[in-house]
Amino acid sequence: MGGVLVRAVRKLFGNGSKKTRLLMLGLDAAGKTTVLHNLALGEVVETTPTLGFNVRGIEHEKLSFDVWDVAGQSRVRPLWKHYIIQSCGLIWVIDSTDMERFYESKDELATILAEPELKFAPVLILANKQDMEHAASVDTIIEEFDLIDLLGEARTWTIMPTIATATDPTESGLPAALEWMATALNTDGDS
Amino acid sequence: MAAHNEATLLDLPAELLVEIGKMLGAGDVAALASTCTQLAWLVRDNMVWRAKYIETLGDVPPMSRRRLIADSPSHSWADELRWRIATQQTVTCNFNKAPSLDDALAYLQSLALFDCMEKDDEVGVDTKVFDFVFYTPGISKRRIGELLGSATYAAARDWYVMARMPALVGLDFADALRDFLHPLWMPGEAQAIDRIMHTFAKAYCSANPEVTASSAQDVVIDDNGFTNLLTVDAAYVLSFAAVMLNTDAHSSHTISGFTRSSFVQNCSGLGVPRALVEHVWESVTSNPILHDSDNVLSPPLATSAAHIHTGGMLFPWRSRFLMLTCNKLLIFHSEESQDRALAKYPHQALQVVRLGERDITIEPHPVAGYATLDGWVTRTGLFARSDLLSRSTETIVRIRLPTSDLADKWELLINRALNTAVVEDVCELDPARDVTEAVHNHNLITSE
Repeated sequence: MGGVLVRAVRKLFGNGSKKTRLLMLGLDAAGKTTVLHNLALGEVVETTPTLGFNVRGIEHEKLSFDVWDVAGQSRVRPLWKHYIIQSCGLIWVIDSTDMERFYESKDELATILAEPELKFAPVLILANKQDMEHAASVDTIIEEFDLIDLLGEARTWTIMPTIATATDPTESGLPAALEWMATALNTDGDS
Repeated sequence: MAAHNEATLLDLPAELLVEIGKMLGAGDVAALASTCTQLAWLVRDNMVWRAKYIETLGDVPPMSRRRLIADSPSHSWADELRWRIATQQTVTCNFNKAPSLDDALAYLQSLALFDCMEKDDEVGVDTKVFDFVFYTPGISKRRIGELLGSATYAAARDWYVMARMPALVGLDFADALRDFLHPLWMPGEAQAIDRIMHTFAKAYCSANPEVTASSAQDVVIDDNGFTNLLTVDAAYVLSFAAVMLNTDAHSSHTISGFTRSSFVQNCSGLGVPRALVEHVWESVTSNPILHDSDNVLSPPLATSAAHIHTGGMLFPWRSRFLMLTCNKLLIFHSEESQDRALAKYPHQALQVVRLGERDITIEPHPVAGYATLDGWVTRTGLFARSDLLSRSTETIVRIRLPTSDLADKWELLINRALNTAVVEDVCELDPARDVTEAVHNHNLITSE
């Protein structure tokens, strides 16, 4: 059923061909900008970037993504609605070392997931900063965030350990994460 | 040589020459002093160089440096200025290159450039450090954006509201946003943008009370969820939407998602006025909001800020002003056209009192018949817009002070100042540029 909705939404907004919009969220200092930068590695960087939000186009063999780094206080969250409707996937970035803010992060994630437009969107959770000494493991985060309950059975989701700062792609874990998202969206689209 | 019945610069008393000297660029002080032995002392005058220092750098040196000047006959204000400019270049370079914002600010704080009297204990950064960051030529605009977007340094944002507010008076919403963002490169992180837009909303609403609702009762919400007046909260939402639209419409990395109607629809129910939403759409889609092509602060911004500190008040010197204080006649020069200057003049911020006849009267010459002369009294003295004065020799400004026996003397001084071509010429110069050049090129100035 989720697939049907995603496909319908894509058709509606003309994104069905190849272009897909991903939203990337997370608390500040989680590493979103670094993730975005590393995902889009090799892309030409504008010398004077457009004033505004971090956004990158990422070419993948199966799909091309527009990744938006979005956040902001609840007051402006309605403004993202337009993008949430058009988005097909959600990336949530967690700073695995900042356990004091796990609760805050979980709260935010729950709010976003409650958006009806994102009800069936595949969710990719990145447990970032795994190279740090005190980083919580993926299992700890699943437990702390109560992810299995939070995301429910119907949704396609996963959590992956990443090191966004790593220069070696296999070490960073980002290509694998992107691959997962592409497959999740493609499966949805084909079903 | 001037004819004997014409007033010349040399007729002015020494105190006034010092005041005029303070208004000149350093190179011009040197040039003026070299024309005439009676003026040669000007280049060595510490008061002149003290004014140059304040004008160029926007602050006075910390106590330790002031003591050095006072105690050491070989270290003058000119030396101090030269030392400071040289130091400043090193400092801005190190500040820009520091690996993180925290390191950069800690580095500034560790220098003996500031009197550490207003240190904000919570974050350990002196507010003078913010002055330095926002107003020193050569500071990286990325760093400024970082500072304003940072979660730690809220005091910097308050500071920035105060500093930028006067420039936003009378501007429409989108132009004000452009103007506000001009001195910085805004980071792309949503949280940082969020904070900077909050700052903008505060500054815009306090600068434009006529479009802002004074109380919640004044706001009327229509059926579509739009309001009639702006609030700080609405200005924040709207500016955030404007930045979103700017990214959406102009970034090469993304496909455009918004149409006019979807943008307006997206903003409904958020308590913003519909007319402003349309205005933002028009402005942003037709003309992208861009980062400035310079990635470091340029001198003009820094010098206009310098004046803020000389009077200890917010005042954009956008017009030509004569300023008469209890013992000074000061002449300021302008960069912008006259009609904008009045609009940008923040009366409220200055606690300006309209000139009353009882205190001071300024009358046009009966023959020349100039109709009006505008002026204001502030806590530092009388301001008279000199663009309203004719520069012809027939203009007479009469100033009566009921309690002062100096009135006649003042009147004479003003007449002379207005009629002296030299004064007219020199005040067109750009003090900031000239000081920097002169300090580097005219090493002879203080070696005499």
